[in-house]
Amino acid sequence: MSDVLNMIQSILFSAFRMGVPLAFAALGGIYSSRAGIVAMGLEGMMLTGAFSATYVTYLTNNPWFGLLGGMIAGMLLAMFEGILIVRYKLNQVIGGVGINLLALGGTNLLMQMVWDNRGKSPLVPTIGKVNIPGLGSVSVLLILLIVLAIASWFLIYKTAWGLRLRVIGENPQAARSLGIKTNQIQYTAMAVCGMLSGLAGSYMCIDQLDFFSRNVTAGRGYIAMSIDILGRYHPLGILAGGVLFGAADASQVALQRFNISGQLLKMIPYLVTLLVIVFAVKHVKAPASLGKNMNEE
Amino acid sequence: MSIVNLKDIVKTYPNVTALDHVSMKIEKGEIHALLGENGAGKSTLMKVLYGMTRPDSGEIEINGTLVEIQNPMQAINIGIGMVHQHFMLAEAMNVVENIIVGSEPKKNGRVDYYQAKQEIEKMIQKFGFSVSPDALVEDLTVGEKQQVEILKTLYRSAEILILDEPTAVLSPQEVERFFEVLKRMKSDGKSCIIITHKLYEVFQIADRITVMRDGVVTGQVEPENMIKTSVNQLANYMVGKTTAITNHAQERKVYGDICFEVEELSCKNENKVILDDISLCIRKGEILGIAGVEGNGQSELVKALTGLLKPNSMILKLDGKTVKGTTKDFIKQGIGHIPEDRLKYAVAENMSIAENLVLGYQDSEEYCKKGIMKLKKIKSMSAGRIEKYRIKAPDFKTLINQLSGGNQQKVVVARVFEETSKVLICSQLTRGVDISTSEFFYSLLRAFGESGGATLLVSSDLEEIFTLSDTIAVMYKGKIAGLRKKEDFTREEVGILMTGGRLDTGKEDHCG
Amino acid sequence: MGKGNSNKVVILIISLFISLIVGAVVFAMCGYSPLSAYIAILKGGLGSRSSIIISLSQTMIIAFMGLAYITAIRAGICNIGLEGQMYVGAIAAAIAGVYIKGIPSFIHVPLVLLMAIVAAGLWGMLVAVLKIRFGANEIITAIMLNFIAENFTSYLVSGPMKVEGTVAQSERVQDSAHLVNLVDTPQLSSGILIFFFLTIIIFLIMKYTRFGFEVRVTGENALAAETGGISAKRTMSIAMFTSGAIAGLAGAIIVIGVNGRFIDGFSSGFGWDGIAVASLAGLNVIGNIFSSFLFGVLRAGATVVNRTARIPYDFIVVIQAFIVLLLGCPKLSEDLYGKIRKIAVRKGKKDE
Repeated sequence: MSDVLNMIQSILFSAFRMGVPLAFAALGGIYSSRAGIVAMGLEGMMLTGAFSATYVTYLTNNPWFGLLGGMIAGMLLAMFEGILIVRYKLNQVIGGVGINLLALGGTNLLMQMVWDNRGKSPLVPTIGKVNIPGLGSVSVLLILLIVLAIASWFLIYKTAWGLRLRVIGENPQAARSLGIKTNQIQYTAMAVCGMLSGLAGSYMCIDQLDFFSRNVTAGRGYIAMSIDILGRYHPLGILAGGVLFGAADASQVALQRFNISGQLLKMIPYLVTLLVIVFAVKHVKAPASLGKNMNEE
Repeated sequence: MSIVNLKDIVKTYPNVTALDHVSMKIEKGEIHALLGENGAGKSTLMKVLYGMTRPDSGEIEINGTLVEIQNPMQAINIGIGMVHQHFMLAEAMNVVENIIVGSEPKKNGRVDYYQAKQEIEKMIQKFGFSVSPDALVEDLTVGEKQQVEILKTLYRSAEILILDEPTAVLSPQEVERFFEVLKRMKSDGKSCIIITHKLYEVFQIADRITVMRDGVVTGQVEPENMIKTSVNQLANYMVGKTTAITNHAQERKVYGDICFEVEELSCKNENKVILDDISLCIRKGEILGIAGVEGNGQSELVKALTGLLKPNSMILKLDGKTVKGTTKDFIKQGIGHIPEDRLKYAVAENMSIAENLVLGYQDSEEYCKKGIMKLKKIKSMSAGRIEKYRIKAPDFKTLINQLSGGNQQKVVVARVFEETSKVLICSQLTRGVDISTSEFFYSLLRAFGESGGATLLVSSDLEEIFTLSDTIAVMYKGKIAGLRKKEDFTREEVGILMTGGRLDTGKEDHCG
Repeated sequence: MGKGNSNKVVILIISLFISLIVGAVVFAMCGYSPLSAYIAILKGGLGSRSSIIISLSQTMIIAFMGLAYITAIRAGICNIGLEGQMYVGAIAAAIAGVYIKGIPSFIHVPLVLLMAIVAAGLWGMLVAVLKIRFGANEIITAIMLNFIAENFTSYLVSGPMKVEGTVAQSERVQDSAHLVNLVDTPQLSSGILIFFFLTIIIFLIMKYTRFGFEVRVTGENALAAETGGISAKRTMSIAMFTSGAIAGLAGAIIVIGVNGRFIDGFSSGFGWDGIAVASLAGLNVIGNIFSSFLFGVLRAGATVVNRTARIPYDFIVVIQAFIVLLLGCPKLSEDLYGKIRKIAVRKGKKDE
């Protein structure tokens, strides 16, 4: 009995840890979705961020530089996708596929080039923890996540930039007819999205883990995309979603002691995501222009 | 000195000259009507003024100073506002947000919604609007949405307002209210330019008229000449022919038996009543016009009658036999459909004329045998129809997106008229189509009636309804608010019903 | 029309060129001369009889995936679930191939293929059904179904279906379930004939039949299709079934033709290859054969240079990504084409 209680407690605790990268990426996804761009590229941005953070940390031995590197790399990839979609009218799904392929192929390639290893990077130092009464030692980035979520809420719902962003997500033509530079805002939103996703990937490799491994994100970007829908594209809504999916992720770790096949356990987060997307989010309205490219006059 | 002076504006597109040395002056505090057919260049001219399009050459003077307007932002800063025909609104957001976006009042880095709301409420009072600032745009009526669009320009303290076909979607009463607003704006010193193709309207409201055709100004009417000018004169400027507008009132034949009958048609969507117990019938040879402000259930009525929407309840009979099933079955039984928005519902843009002429009738033995398309037959059919319906295209392989709007509509019309024998459901038949093509469509519609076909005609253009219909039904909030023979209705009465008013006498049961 | 076509050719050439430059940069970073690396790849892919056979075998699988992608996109759906559908088809084939015994080959092989078609087809159609029935986002469901298929098949061949030994793989399929080989090695099986047959069938269906017409209208404008009495939902579901079935067929052919068994994680991203070759082919089923051949040679050659020169195999994925991204940009072609013409005009003026 106490065994079960123990397990539940440990799942809950690690749900927070596992939920952090998901919530970071989902937070990024809000910016992208609100700008009318499908956040399919989150996966690639996370992976790129994860690799870059590990590499920079490996070079400088300072995980904070690594974090910065991860954010910048994620941002650059997101901007690249943004330009192809906004300026060159690339189909958004194809864009997502291409960006994620590029990130997957690129990180695998670079990994072999810099570390001469197909599977794993060397170990790197990680970002420190802080002690919070009641929760124990938690990552500094967990606190950063909460701060950024609140800041995003303020930015999106209280400032002029946020109002413009939301209008673009609903009707970019309307925004443009009022003289708003929609492209600029879309690029900015993509940049922020890339930074946050890069942060998400960085967290995985220089906080949660202390190394990079082949395709370390394993679909977490897509799970983050589902969290956006579940959280109704609201910065505070995704925090709860992050914990829920974090719990799914954590339960697979916790259940490992029961001698269940690892492959079956790995399926849990994907199954949970599938079920949530099919049954739980039927009436969530996405921004009206999401996925559609705007025609020039 | 004129407030706006457009001089010698030229704008060419790859294949056409949209504006050919156009000049136009607008005086302060006047209502200036810019009249012309679809494609005459009036919208292009206004887009130039609003900075949405750069002209190839020409000058713009505002208050006597030469300006360059490169984008809408500059136009807004100069004091020009534009109300687009297709509203540009974020439906899921509220009125205040829609109005202030791009010119937000700020306080300590955040948007000052409180101040914005107060300011907007003041303007609503001053100009006599009825919209509520906190309402979500998706819950507004068409007329209220237009108010939001106008408020957007007033909020940016526009002195020059461009209104693109502002009355196209309004009921007569709403038009009256809109004219009141216009007059208040005028007395406030604002200059308004109204783009329109409605001849009668301009006499009612305009101080000055400019008429365009094929990218040139063909006529101008100064205030002092307004009384002397006739509708026919304006029509000549517009169309370029000396023919008077034909009078469509003619003796109608006696109708035949009841052909198409719908009863107990009700439809709900997420507990919102869309269609409420509708009963209608059309006799052979009859044209039943459905009048109403857009969004009162007409689209759903059309969809239900063409099998595209499964209503909660409906009894539908064609020649006494019950019609059931999917759209495919409806088409097979002889119910033709010309949808309201051709690009959205009627054609596949990247496919050929021939393929679009077959669409909907791919099951017919004419075009398909045992699942194999009869390509030869389709080709000869298409060539014939392109000629018969005067579709301007090199050949039947031409893609739909290479045609003009009018010719696209001709493809849809050709397909439906050629294949439909019994019932025709058509919606916004002549939207975005020039006068001569509209006349052509009208004659087709009458011929269809004479051959015994029953027609349901949905239009937001009241003139079209009165021109073509034998019987008129008015829809309001998903109900038939009134139904009479055309002769027994006045435009005012229809207008009252369209906006939820009541008439003393009830509706007539003409199927009885 | 003419302008549109030359536009397409220009963007095709430019995209290929950029992608090859990316490859060259990779080689240079690995310390190899790009030119000799490309030559080595070509040699590796086409240099000998056995390398040609490997190239063709790869080409076949990739071409199947391209065909599957094109089938779905014609109906307006971007099938990003190909990878999962391929695994499902392969595992169904492995089950039918390993555990059904004692029936003659001419029954066993079709049975195996049929199992794969049905299983993978349904797996593919599931995406469409979830979308239509529950409004579920098809990107997310397709990707999740990929992960589920990959992990579940992996579980089966490392657990219940595992052959003795350390490698996670199924037992060999029965002899009666083997596809006939065209040459002495199993790599190039008669699967390639199945592919050509399918390509012709799909080409004919799209061009000449009513169903093909309905698929194309649905892909172009689902609402107009509905107006024309075509059930877009039904058409999309069938298209997704077909697309999945083709991907599953490819998986089955790998199992009973190429490898003789289900090997854990055998697909090195064939599903994504399919998207790349289909884009390169301009979504044309005939062009698909040629673009697949290019990728087949590239893949076979890359395996060789990976072995001999230690150039990481993954550069192929990067090249693929660039092809997918650049060929998908309609405005990019216009811009580039416009610029090239401007330069040409300027040059022409100078010459005068």
